Amino acid sequence: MDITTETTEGAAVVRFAGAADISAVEAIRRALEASMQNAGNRVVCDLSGMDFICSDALGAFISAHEDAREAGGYVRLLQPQERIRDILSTTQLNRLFDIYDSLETALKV
Amino acid sequence: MAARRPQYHCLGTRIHMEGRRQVMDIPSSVDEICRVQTAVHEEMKRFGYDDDTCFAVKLAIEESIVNAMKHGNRLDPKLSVHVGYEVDDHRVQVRVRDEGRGFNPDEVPDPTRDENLMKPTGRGIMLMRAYMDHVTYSENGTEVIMVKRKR
Repeated sequence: MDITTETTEGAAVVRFAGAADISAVEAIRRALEASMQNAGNRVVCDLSGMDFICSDALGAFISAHEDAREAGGYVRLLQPQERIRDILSTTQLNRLFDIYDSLETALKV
Repeated sequence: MAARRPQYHCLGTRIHMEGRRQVMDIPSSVDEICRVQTAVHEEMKRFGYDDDTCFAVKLAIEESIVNAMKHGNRLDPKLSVHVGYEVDDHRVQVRVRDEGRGFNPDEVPDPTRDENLMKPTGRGIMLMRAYMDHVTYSENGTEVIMVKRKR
């Protein structure tokens, strides 16, 4: 999985491309942790390039989301592909995460 | 249509046939999961399964093998996960068996309940049941059999 981070408008935008399978979970955790530290716990996760996600990777996003929320920040999801949306819907994680279709909207307070 | 697969050995993985079923015995290492997924995917494509069905099976394989390694075998490198699969024109069947002590899948809490939604674990079996047509556990929980019909 390829993970790239940039900081914009006071938040980190972390792009995930490829398969968020079990072998990617540790890298996902580290990237989310680093981006939260660097951007005041405001993170937008660009999932437009993610084509697979396993439950342990979902767990990494959930943990980051909870940590950010506790610290007064956020972890938001951006443009998940249809199959990822289906997984989020099946697990009802679309009730936990705010999911956005545009980066502009995701960065608004 | 399926040609007979030869027996061969890969690093850490033994692959052999049991009747019509291809069986892979993999050590409890997550790198091996891709090997199983690729093998099953190739078979499914040979039989003309669509991409959505392939995705569903890939996800179920990921979840079931991770469960077998993490919870069944407790990541003991001395223990193996046994994966058997059969692909034909009507359905895919995947069996995953660990060498652990077993568990009761009915005791796994519902991860969609409000109090469980923010927990980082506990969604594997739910995804297996949602994406496969049938998911059945052996009495002691060490083996799961999953079936996906061809669309």
